[in-house]
Amino acid sequence: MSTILVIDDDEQFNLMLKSALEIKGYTVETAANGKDAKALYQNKSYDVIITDIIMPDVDGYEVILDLRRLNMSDRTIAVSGGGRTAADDYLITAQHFNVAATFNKPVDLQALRAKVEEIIKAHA
Amino acid sequence: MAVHHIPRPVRRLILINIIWNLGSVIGILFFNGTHEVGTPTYIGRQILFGIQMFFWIRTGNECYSIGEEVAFSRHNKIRILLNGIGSFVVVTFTILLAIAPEAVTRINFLGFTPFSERPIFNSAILIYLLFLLPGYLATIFQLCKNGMHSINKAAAQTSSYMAASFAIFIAVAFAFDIIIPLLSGVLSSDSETQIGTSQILIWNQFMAMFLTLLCGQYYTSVSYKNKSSYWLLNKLISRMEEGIIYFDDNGQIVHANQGAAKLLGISSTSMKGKSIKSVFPPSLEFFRETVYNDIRITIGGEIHSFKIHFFRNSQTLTTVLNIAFFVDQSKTLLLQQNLKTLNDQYVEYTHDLVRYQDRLNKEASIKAEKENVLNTLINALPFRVWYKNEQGVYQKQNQQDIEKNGAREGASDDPQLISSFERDARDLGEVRVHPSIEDKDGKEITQDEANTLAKNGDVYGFFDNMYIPIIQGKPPYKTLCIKVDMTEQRRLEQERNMLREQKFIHSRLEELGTMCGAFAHDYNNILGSQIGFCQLAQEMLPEGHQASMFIAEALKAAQRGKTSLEELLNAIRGNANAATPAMVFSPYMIIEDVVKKVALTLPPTIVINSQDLDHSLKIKGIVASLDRIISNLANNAIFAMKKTGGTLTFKLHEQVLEKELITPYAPPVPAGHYAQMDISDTGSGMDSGTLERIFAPFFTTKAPGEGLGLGLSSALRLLKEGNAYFTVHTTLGKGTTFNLYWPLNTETETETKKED
Repeated sequence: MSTILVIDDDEQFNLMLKSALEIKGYTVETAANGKDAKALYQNKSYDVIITDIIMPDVDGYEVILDLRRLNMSDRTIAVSGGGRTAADDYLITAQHFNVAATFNKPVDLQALRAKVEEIIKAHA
Repeated sequence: MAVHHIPRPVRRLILINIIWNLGSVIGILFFNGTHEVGTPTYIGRQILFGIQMFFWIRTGNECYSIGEEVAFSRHNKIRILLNGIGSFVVVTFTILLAIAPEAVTRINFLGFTPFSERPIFNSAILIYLLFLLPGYLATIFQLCKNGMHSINKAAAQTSSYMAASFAIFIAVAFAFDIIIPLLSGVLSSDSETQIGTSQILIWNQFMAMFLTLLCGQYYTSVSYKNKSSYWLLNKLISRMEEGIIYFDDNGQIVHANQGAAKLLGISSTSMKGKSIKSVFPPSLEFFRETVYNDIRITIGGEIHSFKIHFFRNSQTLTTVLNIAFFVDQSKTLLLQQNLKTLNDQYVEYTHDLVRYQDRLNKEASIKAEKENVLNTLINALPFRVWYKNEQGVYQKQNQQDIEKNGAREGASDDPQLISSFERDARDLGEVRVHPSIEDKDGKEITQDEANTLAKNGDVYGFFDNMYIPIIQGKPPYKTLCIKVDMTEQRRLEQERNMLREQKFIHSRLEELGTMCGAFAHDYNNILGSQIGFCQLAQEMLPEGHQASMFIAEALKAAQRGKTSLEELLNAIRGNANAATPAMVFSPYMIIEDVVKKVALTLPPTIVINSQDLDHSLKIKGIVASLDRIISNLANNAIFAMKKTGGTLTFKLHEQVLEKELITPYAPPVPAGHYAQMDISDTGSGMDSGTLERIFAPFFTTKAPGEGLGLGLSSALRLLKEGNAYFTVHTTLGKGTTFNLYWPLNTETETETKKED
């Protein structure tokens, strides 16, 4: 049974992703920011971690860099809804840090679930 | 020589001689021979004889008179008495001899009859002895005395010579006329003829002529000698300011001159007869030839100092004249003292003169230097300066004004062309400042006219005019006028204002963009959730379920919302770029703006140096972008120096790259013409790992909460947009330098204008 961590400050988005992935039979846990997430992924290993970039209290980049130190970059997916500048900007930087995949919001659920499946399979 | 210059006695002697000799001639012509007593011839002869005698008895007295006149200087009246008695006797004898000669012969004088024989001869001898000879003898005596007493040697000689001559003449005449005839007995032979003879005193008659000549000679010699020396000496002595006192061996004062009287304050007559010891201090040795200096004598309450010479002059063997010659030195001393004081003062004055001249020279050189400094200053001033006097006449112009206005020194402006501002300064003494717009000929124009000129591309200028009255006394005053060309400043101001406006618009639009971006981000999330849930619902519902259609519609509406949101964002971003197009500007203005901005919050340990900025360079680009880039780099630099302090240096200069510039950590810079901007700090520097990532967004070395790390990445993006490049050099612990290469604007100014 694979476990997935979803990190986003938007509760509805968390719930939506959680529902979408649970349908496919994954165990899904959520965190509202990088700080909460860190408490979770330090004690428990996740098969896939999906994180937003812009968040209060430790942003997505720090999470990504932290996970890179834990050699979990290939299990990390970055998601961004854009901000001051185009959303691409953030995701290009995220790619620079060698994340497994990046997705623009609104997320294409089919593609995302396919990617998650791919990562899990790759590590099986 | 006129007759009246001959003294009276000599004149009388001449008269006597003439009559005497004339009488003799008449006697020889008409009464020669012997005549009987009582005959008219006899009587006539006796009368003639009497007349002659009447005159010749005076000869002796007249000789004496000459002596008195020239030498003895003491007149007596005995002469007149003798003459009177003599005349009476002569007349008596003449009458008696003419009328009754016998009576004469019978004259008995104490039993002695002197005229019993030769009555005529004897009576003549008697008269000669009584009246003529005493005069002669007195004269000889006086001459001898005079000769011995005289101070003047020449006068003494003359007197002696005279006395001798007199004595010889008189003795010879006496001998031949009286002694010899008496002794020879010529007269006693015939008593008849004795009565009638007229040949009496014939030698005396001739000698009288000699005596007359001699007297005349003596008078002239002695009187002129006296006049020229002795008399002159006396005159001098009497006029001298110095005192001279003669005194005899008893110390009795014989003579004192006017000078002595004046010096001693005693009249010379009252001094005469007094003792010399009553005049001078008695302790002095009066009878030795000595000189005393500084003898103090109190005269009229004042102490005077005298210098006194005493000396002696032996006059004869027995008489000696003592002389005191003295001078009041107090006056001389005073004068000497005055002279010394005056001399000292003169020396002082000459020194003063030299000092004054020195000071004058110094003042002159200071003045010249000041003038030189002033001239240099006013010529170095970057604006026009001139100076007019109260009448509005040009007094001074600096070089700039002469170049613009021509040399006008000494001239004045047409009163109608003088502005009211200048008149106010001159007449009211108020400082007036007035900005003006002038065409290329210096004529003042309005703003509208200037706008027209600008439209035609003609030249005009902005000026600030200042009229400063130099307040001194009453109006009108001198005026100092300053004319500053503000054209360039106005242009720069306009340019700066325009850049600021651009930046302002850009930042306002960007704010709006940021706000919309934040809104879009949130809204995107919301839409994302909605779309996600819709997709999940579609998955859960069985195929062909009635609700599927509604969910599909909800999904479609969410997609539409997303599209319109993107459109909104694009519209705002596009507008921001359209409102602030790329333009040509001077980058130094932006740098100076940034310096001003960061200086407001600069820690005191950090110094900004922005001296080296080339003002002539122009680049083309978005003003706000360069401002953002420079601001970011400056803020990072300041952050790097926060702990240690240091210097932040901005430089701007032209750079020509002949070939591509390749450096580590930065993309290559192609060859070209650039405005190079250097921003250097002396902060902590960066390691290679940091350097690799500096332009990544959100990359930051700052502690949480100090910054997002977006600065350098957006700077990089803006550089790309502006077609500009950068290089970076850093040393850990020493500092970092960023070099920006921004392509130079090579378009000409007119093209820029048309573009605007």
